[in-house]
Amino acid sequence: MGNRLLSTRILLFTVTVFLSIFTTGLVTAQTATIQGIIIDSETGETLPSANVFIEELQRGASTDVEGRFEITNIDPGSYTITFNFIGYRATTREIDLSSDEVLELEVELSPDRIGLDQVVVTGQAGTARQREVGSSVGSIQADDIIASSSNVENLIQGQVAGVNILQTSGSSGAGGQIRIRGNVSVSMSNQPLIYLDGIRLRSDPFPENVPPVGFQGRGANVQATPINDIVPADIENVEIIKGAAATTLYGSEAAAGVIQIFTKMGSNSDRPVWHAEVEQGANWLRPFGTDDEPYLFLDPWLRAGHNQRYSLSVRGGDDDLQYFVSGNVADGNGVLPNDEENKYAIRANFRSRLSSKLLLRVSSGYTSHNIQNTASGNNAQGLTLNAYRQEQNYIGSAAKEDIDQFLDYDINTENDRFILGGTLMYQQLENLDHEFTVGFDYAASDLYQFRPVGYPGASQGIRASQNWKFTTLTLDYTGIYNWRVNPDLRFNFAWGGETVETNEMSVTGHAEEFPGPGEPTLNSGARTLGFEDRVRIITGGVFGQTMIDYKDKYFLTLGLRVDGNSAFGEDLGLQPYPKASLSYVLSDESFWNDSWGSLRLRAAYGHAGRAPGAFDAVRTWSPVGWGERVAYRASNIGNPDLGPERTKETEFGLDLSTFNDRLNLDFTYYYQRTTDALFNVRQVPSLGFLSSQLENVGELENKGIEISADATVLQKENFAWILGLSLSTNQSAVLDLGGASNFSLDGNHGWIVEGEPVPAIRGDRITNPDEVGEPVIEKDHVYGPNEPTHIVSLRTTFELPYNITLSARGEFQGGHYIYDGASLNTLARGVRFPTCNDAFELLDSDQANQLTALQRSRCVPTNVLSDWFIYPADFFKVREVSLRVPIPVRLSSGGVSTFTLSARNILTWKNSDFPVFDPEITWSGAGDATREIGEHIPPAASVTGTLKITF
Amino acid sequence: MKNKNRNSVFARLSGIRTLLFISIFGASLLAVSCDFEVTNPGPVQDQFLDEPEAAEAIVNGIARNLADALSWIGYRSGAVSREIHPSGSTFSFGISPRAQVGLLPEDETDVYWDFGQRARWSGDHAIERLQETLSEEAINESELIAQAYLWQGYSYRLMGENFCQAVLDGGSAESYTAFLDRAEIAFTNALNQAESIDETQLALAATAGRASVRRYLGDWNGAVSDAEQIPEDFSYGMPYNQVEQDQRNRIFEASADNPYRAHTVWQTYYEEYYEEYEDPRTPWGLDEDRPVGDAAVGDLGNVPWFFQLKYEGPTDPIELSSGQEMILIRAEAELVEGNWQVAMGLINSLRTEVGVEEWDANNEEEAWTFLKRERGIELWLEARRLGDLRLWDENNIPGDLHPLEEFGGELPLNPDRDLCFPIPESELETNPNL
Repeated sequence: MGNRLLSTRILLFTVTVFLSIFTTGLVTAQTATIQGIIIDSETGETLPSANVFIEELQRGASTDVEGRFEITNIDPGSYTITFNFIGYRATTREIDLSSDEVLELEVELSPDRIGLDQVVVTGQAGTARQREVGSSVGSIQADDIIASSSNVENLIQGQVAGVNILQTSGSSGAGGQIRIRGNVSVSMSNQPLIYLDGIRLRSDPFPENVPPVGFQGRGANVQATPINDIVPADIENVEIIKGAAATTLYGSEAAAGVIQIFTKMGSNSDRPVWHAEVEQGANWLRPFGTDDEPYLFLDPWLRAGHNQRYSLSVRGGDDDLQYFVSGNVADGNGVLPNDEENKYAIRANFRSRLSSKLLLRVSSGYTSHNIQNTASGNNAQGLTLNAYRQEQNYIGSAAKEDIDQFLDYDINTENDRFILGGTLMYQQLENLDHEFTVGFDYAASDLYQFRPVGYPGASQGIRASQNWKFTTLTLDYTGIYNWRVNPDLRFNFAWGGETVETNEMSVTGHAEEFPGPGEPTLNSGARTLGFEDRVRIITGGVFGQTMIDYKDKYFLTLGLRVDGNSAFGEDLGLQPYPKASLSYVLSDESFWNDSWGSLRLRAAYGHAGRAPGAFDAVRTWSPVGWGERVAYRASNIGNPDLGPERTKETEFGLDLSTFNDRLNLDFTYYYQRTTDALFNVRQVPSLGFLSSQLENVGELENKGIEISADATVLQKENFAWILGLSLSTNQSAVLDLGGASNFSLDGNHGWIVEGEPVPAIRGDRITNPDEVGEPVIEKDHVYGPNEPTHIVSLRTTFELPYNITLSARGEFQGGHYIYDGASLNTLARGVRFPTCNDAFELLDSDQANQLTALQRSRCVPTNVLSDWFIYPADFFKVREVSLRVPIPVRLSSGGVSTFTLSARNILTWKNSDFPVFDPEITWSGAGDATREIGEHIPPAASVTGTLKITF
Repeated sequence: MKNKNRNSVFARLSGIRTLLFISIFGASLLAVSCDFEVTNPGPVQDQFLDEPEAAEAIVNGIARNLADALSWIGYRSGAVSREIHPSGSTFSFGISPRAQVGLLPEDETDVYWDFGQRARWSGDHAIERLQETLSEEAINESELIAQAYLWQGYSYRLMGENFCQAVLDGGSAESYTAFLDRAEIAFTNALNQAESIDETQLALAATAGRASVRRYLGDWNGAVSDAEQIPEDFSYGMPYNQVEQDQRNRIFEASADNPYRAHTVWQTYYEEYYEEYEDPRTPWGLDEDRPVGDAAVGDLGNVPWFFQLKYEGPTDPIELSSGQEMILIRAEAELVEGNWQVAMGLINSLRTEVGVEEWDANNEEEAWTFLKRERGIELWLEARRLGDLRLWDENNIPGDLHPLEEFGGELPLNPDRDLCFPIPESELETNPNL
């Protein structure tokens, strides 16, 4: 039934698209040509990949590696041509073309530090210039980043104020947690939506490789993230739309923000442009223990891993067809003995002019990502836990040869990703455009793990195998009508609709008790179990937006999206999400002195939502086994009124560029209030339903500021020193629990408590930690937030003679707290864990009465409680240091070669009350609701050398 | 003129094309955007339980819930009453540091209360639902109804014997006897239904269950009257299954070599008792290749792993009622009446039956001591001991507990040790009537 409906939808959409094509006029012959070169007005250097666009014809071209462009077959007539390039102010030329004319143009573009005329994709309603947008949009140009990025999370990390990417572990394949302006939800995912070339992708992490039954930590306790399937070398730019004020037109799932990734496209150049990258690198762990035990007994198993990557791409084309094709191969060893990963990716992007009014853009990519992990984390049958716990571990031995048994645990994950999308752009009239997008994201995982016969804790062997598949089908239409009433007044109307259907399927097999050694399959086990899950969710909405442009300096935008969702309760109707924004380019006023630079003021207000899960609204019973028989167990109590939570956001800000563009400042204040917040309301156990029920009862707030400043401190002919600073703050609070009682998000210390941060770390506190004597306990103390309240990113770049560039970036995160379950688990079991060495000395010399209150609590096993292991998690890390050196080898005219040496995570500072491990360790991976330290390893440090050759 | 006509026609066609385009697009957009009806497989929607075919699974649900509750409560109550001693894992499948010294704090006992409440609530729900959805004739002939009442009775008994207070359906706290009162009603209903359809085993189980509840409530006449109807070789247990770890006998699973050696018989009364008497009701063993538990126990470090052998595998049932228990109820009733010699005769009849040396009591107090010992031996690791300790403590019953059971040994019990599970945070923080 579902497949038939899906087919019907695709058919209808296809029919619509083709009817549009056939009801449109066809191509007519062109005769004139324009060609020329685009250069930087300050340096005189040519600008490759700049854009040239004939407004009336909706045709364009990009400059080649030498900054040259050509557009042929143009009808004689008068045209407005726009020239733009990322980071430069756009400019226009009015031209008249006669038959057979070849018009030669030389165009200078001025740097535009705050990007007023930079084109951005701000929502569903097509593109806009930055000056028109009332909200803050983070923009990253991949080419501007000097360091080589091993994945997209590395590429984004620290680049945009308010966007935080926290790593989760040093295991191979471990993805990070992305948070934009903190947490807007306590029950649903806070990962932002991800779009690639207009195609909606899966945002949440891949499933964790764990068996379907038994303890859910039996694995490596890491999760790969789908965003990292995209190869950084294929990316042109990334736009980050931060909050509800900007994401309104994305509807019911956009409250946590949207990341738009755009891959490279071809350009019409006289010859193909090839680009090759070769990378070699190493990664290792920096100490994370005490001076006595810098690696907390894990040293014998740690190694320096080797990584390598090779990529090759070509882009080119002519006026009618442009292409970009790439291939990437990467592999590497992790720092743990079994950790390995390899990744193969190919991408083919095409842009084709089907007629004078039709442009087709196709984006396609395939990635194969294979990951092998060492059993780690809070896994009694894993390497790290048993190494940390020494003789008190699950085999009663700290000897390497005994603990080596845990390396027989095979954990393999094979992720396949296929993303295909096409956008048909149809210019119906000179000022009326339509865009149709069909996108399909296929994410599949083959997860299998095996403990062989004789394995400690699983002596007869256990095997689990899961086939998981997640597809996202997006159908999207946007219409845009541009109506210029007079030279000063212009309206831009946009309307459209989007439907997103996700299908998740998982079939898992589990087998135990194998006959003997060897590599068995599931059916070799004496006992086998099977599991199946299928979940389909449909979201759809329509939207309209009007932008009023007065004198190209006052911009008012009003918009509305109305959404439905299959997961809403049956009594809930469609959900409207309004928005409004203002943008005022103050520096365009007549009284403004150009020497003051440019200044824009902006304000935005909007709503966005987050929908509940597929089964949350319905009262359900779980079919569970009772031996060979089936039994029904109360599962979800249900709520027919269940709807999305709604985040309303207001933001104000300014963009300033002054001192001859040598100081650029971007400031934003935001305030978010999430109403109808979905809380997992704990049910009264004596009423039978033990599972929490999602209810729209809560109210949350998030507020903060974001400052991004870049200053050119020194600018000489062959030398420049650029300093950058990003500061973002986030203060969150639970304003109202809606009558629900306080509840824990993780079963440990991550709590939702009225008046406290989202989430708060709560636990008993010792008020006299350093006093010699018995501890004095304060019950249920709220330590503080689990998410950082302050993030400061410092960056500096030196542009040296011979085009050598040296850059560095450090990041401080602070104001938050974290619970360390790994230390708890060792000390509760009497392990001589080095954090208690001083206490052990006193105990060994019968001076227990000299123990401080904290030592008595942490170091005497019978006193150990999890509450005594909550630490302030402030840290500073040197995220990146890079040196880029041009290589004087040109394989073609206009070709460029560079060599970049990059080091990451090479220095860490932690709060002095944070004794061991690392604040960027999580319990089980990127999908965790709160951050807490499990028996894991910190993110690794790395050094890479990358050779890039363009020819 | 001709061109003008053509332009006019094109203009009109263009307008029609535009209109056509927008119409088709609008229709397709509506088609794709407005269908949000999705029924996903997997979880069963509530209305499906009204179908007669669902009846058996509904009743099985009580059993599964009771099995889980019994397994969990039996394990933790066995630890704090020192039927077993911790020997390893502290959290997963293990015994927390506070439970190791006999404490059952309200911030650590959610799961026991929650599982017990789910079991007894699912019994109430099942009976109500079956009465609403089955015909009167079907109800009258239904073995399922009798079975549902029986599971309901055992669920309430489990709660009543182990928890300090009762809460029913989100109400306020009341005496734990409220659970036992309901258990008695449920057993009576089960007995009536079983007798009406000639289900002898169910009828005996209901009678035995009711005898144990009446004993706890101090209705000695009723208890003895029921107990006397039960054959000595009668046994009714809760089966466990190996299908998945959640369905296994948790007491066995937590002490098995694989994956945990989390508790031991070392430093319990049953260690020395079995060494002395070799009573087949309290067997334990040791493995020279695995001399200690799977992890350290606080200051003690690794402790000897003497694994219980009452449950030899993960599917071994936990006994809910037995003829032997009935004899002990009768013996206790005799002690209450002061007939300690008669009581000792009944107690020793059990010992003779299993081939171990008889107790030799010289007075009433010693007879009470032996009754306490014998109930511990007979009902070892069946989630009954904690309730017995509380009952005797509340009623100041004479007779000694063994020192290892009363104070502990190498790992002493806290002087404020708990003899029942409290209403935990999960109920306290959600129930507005508390």
